[in-house]
Amino acid sequence: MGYEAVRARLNLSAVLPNLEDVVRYDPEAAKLIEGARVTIQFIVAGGPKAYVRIADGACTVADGMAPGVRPGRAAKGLPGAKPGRGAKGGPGAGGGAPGAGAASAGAGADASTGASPGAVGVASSTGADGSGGKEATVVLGFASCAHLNKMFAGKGNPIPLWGFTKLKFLTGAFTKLTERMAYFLKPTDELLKDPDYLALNTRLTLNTAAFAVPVLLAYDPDCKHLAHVLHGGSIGVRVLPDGPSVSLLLGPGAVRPVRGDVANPSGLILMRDLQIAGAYLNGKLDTFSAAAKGEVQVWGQIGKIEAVGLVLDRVPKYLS
Amino acid sequence: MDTYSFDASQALFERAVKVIPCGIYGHFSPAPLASPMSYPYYAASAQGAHFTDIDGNDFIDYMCAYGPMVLGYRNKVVDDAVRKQIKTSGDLLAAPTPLMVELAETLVEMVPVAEWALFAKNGGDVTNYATMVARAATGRPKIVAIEGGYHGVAAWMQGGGHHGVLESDIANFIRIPWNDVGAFERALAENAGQIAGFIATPYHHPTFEDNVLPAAGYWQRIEQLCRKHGVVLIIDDVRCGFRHHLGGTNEYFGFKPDLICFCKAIGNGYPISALVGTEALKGEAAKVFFTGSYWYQAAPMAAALACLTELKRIDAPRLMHEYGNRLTGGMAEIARSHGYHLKVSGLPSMPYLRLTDDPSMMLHQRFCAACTERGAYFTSHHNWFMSAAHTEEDLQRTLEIVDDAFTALAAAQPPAADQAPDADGAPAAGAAPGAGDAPIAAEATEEVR
Repeated sequence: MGYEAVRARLNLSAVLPNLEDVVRYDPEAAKLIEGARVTIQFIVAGGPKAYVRIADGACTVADGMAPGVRPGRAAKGLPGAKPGRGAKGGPGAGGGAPGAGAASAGAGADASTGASPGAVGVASSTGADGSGGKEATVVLGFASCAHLNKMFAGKGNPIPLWGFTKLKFLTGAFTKLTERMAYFLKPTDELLKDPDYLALNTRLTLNTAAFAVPVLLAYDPDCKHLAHVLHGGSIGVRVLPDGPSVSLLLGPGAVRPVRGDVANPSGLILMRDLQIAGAYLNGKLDTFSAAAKGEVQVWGQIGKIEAVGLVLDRVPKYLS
Repeated sequence: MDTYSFDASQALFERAVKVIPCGIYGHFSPAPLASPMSYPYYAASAQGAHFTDIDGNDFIDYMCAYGPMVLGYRNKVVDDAVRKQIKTSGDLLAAPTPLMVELAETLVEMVPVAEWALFAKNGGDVTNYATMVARAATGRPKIVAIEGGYHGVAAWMQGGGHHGVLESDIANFIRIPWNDVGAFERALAENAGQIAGFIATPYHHPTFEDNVLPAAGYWQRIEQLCRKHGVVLIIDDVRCGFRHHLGGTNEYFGFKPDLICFCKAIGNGYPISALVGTEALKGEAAKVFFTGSYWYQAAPMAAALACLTELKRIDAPRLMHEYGNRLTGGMAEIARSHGYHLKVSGLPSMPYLRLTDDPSMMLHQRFCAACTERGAYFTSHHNWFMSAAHTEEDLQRTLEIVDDAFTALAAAQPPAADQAPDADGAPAAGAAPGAGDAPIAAEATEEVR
């Protein structure tokens, strides 16, 4: 799979899900979607699909097609889409994808995360603009993976395929929401001095890292060699003393990332504090040195942790 | 029992990271040690089976420089031979010295398979060269190796997914499981006329895993298949060589390879490795260009001659096996007395130990760290090495340290006596300490995908 295709999957499966935590932890973001009920479907011709559902003050992101949205209809008019088949993608494109990503050192800071899908909004078909009416669906099409990636980099617009009446929501609140996500994913040294900013940046970057792992194991030509190591048990990644955490559930068949801890992990990566975590996840830390200095501790099945590290090292190749 | 601190090591490491990538690289890197803060980073001196770090802490060394130390640090016999060579003749000259011929003759006499020998510096030099000889001899491109088998750090040895390794580097290497004759037969069938060599260690000694001896008849069957299909059988005896049998570890297991790679114990710490082989491959070995700036150093050859002679004189493999048996047996008994289960794998002179009470390895890591902090240098990820220099006093002191470490471990985290045994016959539950002293809260998992 080519660079743009892998990057597109990372954007949809590892970056976009951060909308969930932006809404959950940033009051300003939460306010933007108050009362809104809308599903925004992303479809890439010959590539992956994902959707964002906004309802009841929360945001949910998932791979594949939103319930009730038919690929063929939704993709009608999308360049490159086969009639009647929608924008059928490669493996994992449809539902549940190979995983949801992961991340690593250097991952999170994805510039592309900035995404402003709403900037080119498409609107809904059925009304509701968040006022409590019937839930609307908006379908955004992309002619290629490169097209999607340009949008995530803030340099391109999607093709509205469905839901034109929701244009106002997309160009307004949703655009601001994605800008808010980009704000927290693109730190500056000055911003990182703010403890609240640092905390959310670390959380989002950690999520991106975790969600990137299964994508890279499935699609990155180098990482595929590591997949056989990562089966059985789980690896926890935690920011001490009481920061965010993610866990990677190791197979069989695929790695599944989850937010939070799991009981009895097979391996642990522990970052001393938010500052170390931020540096580690933004690729500004030599992890071998950090381990020797106790800034990052690894415990348990270190062979698997090393394999995760090798995967995470690839994230910046796509998301920086 | 008092425990050590490592302030000077850590301070020096802070200096190191400013001028050396990752401070300490490669297999000496503290990164895989858990926790690194419980280990010395820099050695100041060594003698016999002991080394002293730059904080002044003394350790009974069970890593032996990861294998090269076999007769003891600063062994007089070996060091005198080196000093004599340097004082009387020099080290690296404009031509090889007679020592090179003498050393080759010694190996040919000592190692039944060997009908010739040549020399390099590191194990990876000769494992790489061996695959080139196999390809030259057969005119075939592919090499079969074992999953998890370690043969050095060249790109093909590291495998896919590691930094700097290209797909093309590994395209002609087929990895199969250890002890799986059927997998080799399938590889031969699926790559008919393409396989030049089969390379493996005499038994499976990967890191982070129990070591596994060859199944009954395994090597004999592999040897038969290699003969039948014209495949060169290469034994990577770099780690095991001269610790189990002075004729090569294949003699211990009863089979005859075509090429054997030696390093580590051959020179008691002086830099030298060797490839030995059969007469049938001598001509091809001559054709494959092979050299390095320091490969003709005379002093390491003097060291190897003295070391091999001394290993033979004192029957070092027997001594190391006996010491290893007493050490690991004693440790297992002490573990049981504290309610823990210590599994020993590999051969006694190069054992791998693991507390099976916690499949995550965290408990075992804490145990090894606790022993190291008390003066017995144990790593948790790698097999240990016995040497001929370990003494009865070292053994008794080590067992005292082990007992004290288990006492401390049990106080911090009592063994889970009520849990069902895992596959190794020990309680399975995760004694996961979390992160040493780090507070690990068991939060509810929130699944997001």
